[in-house]
Parts: sequence; structure tokens; C-alpha cells
Amino acid sequence: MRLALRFLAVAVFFSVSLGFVPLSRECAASEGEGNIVDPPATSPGDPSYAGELVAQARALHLWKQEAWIRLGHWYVGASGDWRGQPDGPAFFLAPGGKTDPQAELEATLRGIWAPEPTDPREQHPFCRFPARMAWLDEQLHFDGARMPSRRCAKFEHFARRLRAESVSMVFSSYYLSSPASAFGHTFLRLHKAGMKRESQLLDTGIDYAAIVDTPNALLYAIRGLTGLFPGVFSSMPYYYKVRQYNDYESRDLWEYELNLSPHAVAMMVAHLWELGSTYFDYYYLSENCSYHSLALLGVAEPTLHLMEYVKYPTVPIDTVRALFKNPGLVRQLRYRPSLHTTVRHELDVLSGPEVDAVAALLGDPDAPLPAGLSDVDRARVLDAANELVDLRDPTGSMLVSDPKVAAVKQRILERRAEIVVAAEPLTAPLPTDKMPHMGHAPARVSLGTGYTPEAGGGFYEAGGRVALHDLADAPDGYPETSQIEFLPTRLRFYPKPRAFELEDLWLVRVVSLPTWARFEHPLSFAVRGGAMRLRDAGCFKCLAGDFDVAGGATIGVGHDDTFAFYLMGDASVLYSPTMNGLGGSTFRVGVGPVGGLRWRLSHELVWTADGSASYLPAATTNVTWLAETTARWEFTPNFAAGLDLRRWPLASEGSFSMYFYY
Amino acid sequence: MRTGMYLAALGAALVVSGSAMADDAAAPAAAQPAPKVAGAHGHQKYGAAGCGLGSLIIHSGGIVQIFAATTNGTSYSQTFGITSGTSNCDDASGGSDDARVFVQANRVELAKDISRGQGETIASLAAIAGCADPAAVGVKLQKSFKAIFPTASVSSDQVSDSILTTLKSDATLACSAIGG
Repeated sequence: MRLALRFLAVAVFFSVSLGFVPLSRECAASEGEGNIVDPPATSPGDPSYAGELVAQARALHLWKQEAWIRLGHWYVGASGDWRGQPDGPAFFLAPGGKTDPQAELEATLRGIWAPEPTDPREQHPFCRFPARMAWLDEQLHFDGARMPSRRCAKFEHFARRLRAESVSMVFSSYYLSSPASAFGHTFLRLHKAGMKRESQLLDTGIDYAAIVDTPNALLYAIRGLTGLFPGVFSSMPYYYKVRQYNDYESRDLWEYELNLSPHAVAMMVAHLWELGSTYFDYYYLSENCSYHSLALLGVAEPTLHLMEYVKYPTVPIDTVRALFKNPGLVRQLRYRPSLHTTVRHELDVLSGPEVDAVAALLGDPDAPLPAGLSDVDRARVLDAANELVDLRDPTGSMLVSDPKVAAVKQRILERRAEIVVAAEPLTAPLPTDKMPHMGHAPARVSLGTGYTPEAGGGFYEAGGRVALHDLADAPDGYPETSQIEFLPTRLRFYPKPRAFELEDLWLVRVVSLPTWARFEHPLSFAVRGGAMRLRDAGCFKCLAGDFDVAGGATIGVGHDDTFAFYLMGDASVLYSPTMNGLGGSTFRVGVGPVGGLRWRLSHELVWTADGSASYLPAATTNVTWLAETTARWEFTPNFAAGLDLRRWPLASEGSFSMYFYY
Repeated sequence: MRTGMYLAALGAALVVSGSAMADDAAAPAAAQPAPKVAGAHGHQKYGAAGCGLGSLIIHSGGIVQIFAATTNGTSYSQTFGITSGTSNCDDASGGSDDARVFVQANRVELAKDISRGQGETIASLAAIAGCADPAAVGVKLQKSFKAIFPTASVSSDQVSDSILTTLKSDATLACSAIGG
């Protein structure tokens, strides 16, 4: 008799048997299951049974089992003690449960006979912890006759609402236009049972996010780093996620559908319910969205190896890569192209005159279409024009804002609606070379050797980078013309003077080079902050703090922008104690052009070259420049070799390096 | 020691640039009213959609807030389980209330699909309304485009009403969940 398994039974039942049965809903003034009240127990059961169960659990050392440790999100701290990650007050029943998995297990068993909550809206422990109860039942085989008889109406409603049948881990691609999402994002999609594939918008999105309550950027950064925002799971219709990422932010979504048993899916739903009554302190670098989404999956299926593959800091793509460390876990990969991807694909399909017709429509929505087009072709032209309006008006894809734009859109839609022929919708195909999990690993170390005749002779160099990708790294799995790096650094040893020198250290280095197209003229930009060694007359071999911002444009050639060149205007501020800078001070301000090119010769070989010149106002030496070129070859996955050449006004150097990605 | 100074200066610079970019991001949100969702209630707590380092540098601005506003109620409480984005009206098991919430959130995409007479939002709407044949729903809605979207400024509530009326008016569609 496995009484508590009915929790899972509830979840599974609604997963498999309910079709579209309309349920009564009270939308107004309700909040999820907030207005539903769990009824009190109808029979008290046998309170002396609690002691027996505790004794059994002790004899079996149940608390040591991986499944239990995961259910409580405990980990072993630095001093060998147990620590629980949940930080809300309601998650641990035992007074010391946060640091004592055994006490918590026993308190959970005794909690089955806890008194009824004084506030009827509050949940009894039995209903608050459906996943724990189900797991304990599986281990101890609860005797139903001696258990209290209790219904958990709120949880049942929740499980019915989700009707989860399977799960996808969704990776929302890198979004450099808003650095808040530059490293990507992951969340979960719970597939509803009994839904047709075409209506998967109605599935459930499960997101873990921080509750941010300050508009102050400084406070935001400090509190985000130090865990002072609470992080919570929330559920929402999947269409909100699709509209947000696909349309509004124009990010491709990659849905990794997982091969989970119905039991594991039900456990996930039950554990989500447990997490709903608590929060975690949100740490942007470690316990972030990707971390906790992956941990939830580990609770659902305790045999999976997941968290051991997550490094510090937690980079979202690492959590996707962790899925693939478990053979057979990923059942299928689905691709949801962004609005931007869709538009480019739609325009690719059109002929030259048809693209001209699209251009005409953007100016005058009543512009006549070329004669002789079939209904399907006319439909395609109008569709492409309409999508372009959405893409160009950054708010239009969400809500119609500018009345002029809205009027153009309205007219194009009206004309489209008059064409009743069914035109098969154009869907951009899945770009197999850009599948995120196929990219190189985000962390990198390198070893190299080089020579600089004017500034120290031969040298050895060690480099490291915490994350993620630069323009010369192997491009598969990453945006073609974007770079985002967190904490890249290089350290050198010059044998002649026997000196160690920091060559550079960057907090972040971001380069975004979206290419221009006929209807799109996106801004290219580069931002970096850190310290680097200069080699000009104003600062020879000095290490200078640097903050740089550049903006400009990029032209792409060939399909997939395999060849791209860019030109930007750059502004920088530098500081070094030995600098001969602005008016003789130790600061330097520079402005000037930056240009470069990137050529992907193959999926393994990339060549970049760039140059910059800076005018330094009010400085003794008032011009400086740098020219550099890099070729890098990924000769086997996660191993690369590269050549670099650099030239400053007072020095030049060449180096050869080997790179390892992990 | 010097490196420490550089890093401090750099940190300050990043925070400054971060606030500048956050302001940019907030602009479009300020220009728009947050969509109203049936049953949504007042406390404004915004969840960050970002992840990892980026969220730390740049305050998540208006883009995210549009969604936060539609999905507010992100709060934890031991009195109930996980919070629901759209206040219990999202169980997609059918009915007019679900349809309204859906239309509100998917309006732009829905207008596009209705003009084409097919698409994912139509299939989903047909599922919510319990209609037998999504393809027939698409044909019907496309024919009624001008009735559903007479002007660009028509409210989402009116759009929902027109769609529901259209679906109910055609008995052959058999949209069972909305009394059609």
C-alpha cells in the first residue's frame, strides 16, 4: 500500500487521461492555487506509527541517500558540514534542518502527524512536500491504514493545471544587444499531455529568476553578487516565454526534449510545488537560473549526473552540456527561430523584384505588387513585409506603439487577409552548425611562446578565460560575429630579465558585429574594461587600466557572414601611474577609428585582423596605434593552435599558442 | 596593489555604463502601458530574465518589465505552492477567459496568423476554444479579419470579443469550450 504515491498518481493521471475538459475557474482575485483550501484530515491515522517509521528510516540510513540529499538541496560545505541551499523559512521542518539532512528526514516523517495549520490557507506539511512524501513512501512502504487520510486540493489543482507529460530544457540564445542575457539563459518547458504539437504554446514555462526590487544599478550589482535578492521559481504559459525571447528579443530558442520517465516528470512537478513555498538567495555567478533549473532536473531523476559538471561561475551553456554527459537523456532537439532568423529566411526565398516589392510596401502599404505574381508569391511578399515591420519597430512585436507604423502594418495585414490561398508557412531550418551544445566548452586555458625584439626578447605565456567565446574561436555553436569574454587574462615570463609580467586582464570584453542587410542596419559595438600593457612613447611597457567603448557598422559577405569587416569609432580612458598623458597627467583619453575583418575559412579555422589609431588630446605623444592579426585552428574538438602578430608604435611581437577549452 | 586599483576603477566604469544602458532599455517600456491581465494584482516585483554575469552588470530594464508586469505575482509564500504567471487563468483547458489571456499576450502574432489563415497561435486558440478543426478556424478567422481587427488601435478586449463571437457564430466549427 503506497498511499503517498497518490501524489504522483495525481500528477501522472492528469498527464495521461485528461483531454480538454473545461474546468471551473475563478480568475478574479485568485493567485494560482492561492484561493483553494486544503481540507483538514478526515481521519487522524495512528500517531504511534511515526516513531516506527523514524526507526525504520534510521535502520536503513535513508537520509544518506542521494535522492534525499537532492530533495533538500544539501551540499557539503567547506568544513565538511551539511548546508541546505533553500533560504526560505518554510522549506525545512526541523529546527536545524538546513544543516542536518537526517533531522529533516525524521521531522518530515513526524510532520505527517503535525497538527492542522491555524491559518487554513497554509498547507499542512504532508501537502507542502509531495515529492518528499512520495519518495519516503517508496522507501518505507507506508501502511495506508495507519496514515492520516488527507487530501491536498491545492497541489492536485496545480498538477492538473500543468498536466505535465514530458520536459524540455530550453536554451535561449546569446543576446548581446542586452548584456543582461549575453551569456544565454535556460529555463524549462513542461509539455502538456493531450496537446497537439501545433498548440505547444499552451505548455508551461518554468523559470527561475531573482526578484529584483531596485532600479539602482550599483545596488543591483552588489546585491546580485552577494545573494541579496531572493530567487524563486514561477510557472507561466509557455507563450509568454516564446513572445519574450523569440519575438521581443529576437533570440532563437533551442528546446532539448528530455527522455524522462513519467515518474521523474511527476517528481519534478511535485518538487516544484515544494520549491514554491521557499526561495534561494540568488547569486548571479553561481546559483543562477541555469543552476537551479538543472538542480530541479536532478531531483526529478536522482540517477542523473548533472551538478558535478557545473563549474564556477555557472554559464548557462554548461548546464546544457551537462545534459549530454548522460547518454540518452536528450531525446530530441527542437528549434524555434527568432523573428530575426525568420525574416532573413523569408527574404532569402524571394526573388529580386519581390524583395523590391517588399521595400515598396514598407514605404507605401498600398503599393501595387508586381504583375504576374501567383497568389502564393504575393502572400510571401506581404508576409515578409509584415515581419519586417515587426522587426524594425522594436516595440511593435509586442505591442503596437507608433501610430504610423501601426497603420502601415494594419494595411499590409488587410491586404494579406484578402489572399485566401493556403501558403505553407516558411520556417527557417535548424542550423546544425549552430546547435549550442556542439560549440567548444566556454572556459579556456592556453600556453604559448613568442618573441618581441624591442621589448624583452623571447617569452613564454600562459592564458586563461572563465567564459565564453571570442571571434577567433571555432564558431560552431556560437553566434558568427559576436564575442563575449569574462575574465580573460595573460601572464608572461621573460627569461632574459627573468621577469613575470601581467600582459592583460579584462573583466569583460564584448564585441557585437551584427551584419548589415538591405532592410537592417544594426549598430556594431565593442566594450571592454580591464588592464593591458601599452608599448608607445607615452607609456612604454606600462600596465594601464583601460575602459573602451566603440560603435560602428559591419558588412557581411557570403552566406552565414563567413567574411565580415567592420569599422567603428572608439573612445577610451586609460590610467597608469607611469603614464605621460592628458596635460602631463597619469590619465589618457583617446578617440579614433577601429577597423577589422574576420574570415571563417572553415568551421575549424578563423582568421582575424584589426587595427586601431587613437588621437590623444593634450598629451606629449598625441597619436598611438595598434595593428594585430590572429589565425586559430581547432584541430580537434576543444583543442586549438593559434598564431598572433602585433605591432605597436615602439614594439612588435609574434607568438604561437595552444588552447584547451573545458 | 596597482591591479586592485585598476579593477576598482573598472568596476566603477562598468556600473556607470550599466546604468546608461539600463536607461536605454527602460525607454520602450515607459512608452507603453503594461498589458492588463484578468485577475492580475498589484505588487510590482520584477523578475530578472537574465542569467549569469550579464545580469550583474546591466540592470534588467524595461524589456523584461513588460513581461514582469504581465506575469506579476512573482512572490513566495508558504501559504500556497509555486506562483502562477497569469493568475489561474492559464490552465489552457478551454474557455473564454483563457482565450482572452491568450489573445492579450499573443496579439501581434495572432494578427499575423489570422491574416494568413493559419499558424501556431490559431492552432493554440482553437485548442483553448475546444474547436474541432484548427484549419477551419483559420479559414473562418481570415475571412473575418476586418471584423476582428477593424483598426490598428482596437483594444485587445475587443479583439477577443470579436474572435469569440466569430467562432460561436459558426456552428460547424463546434468550438465546444466557449459555448459555440
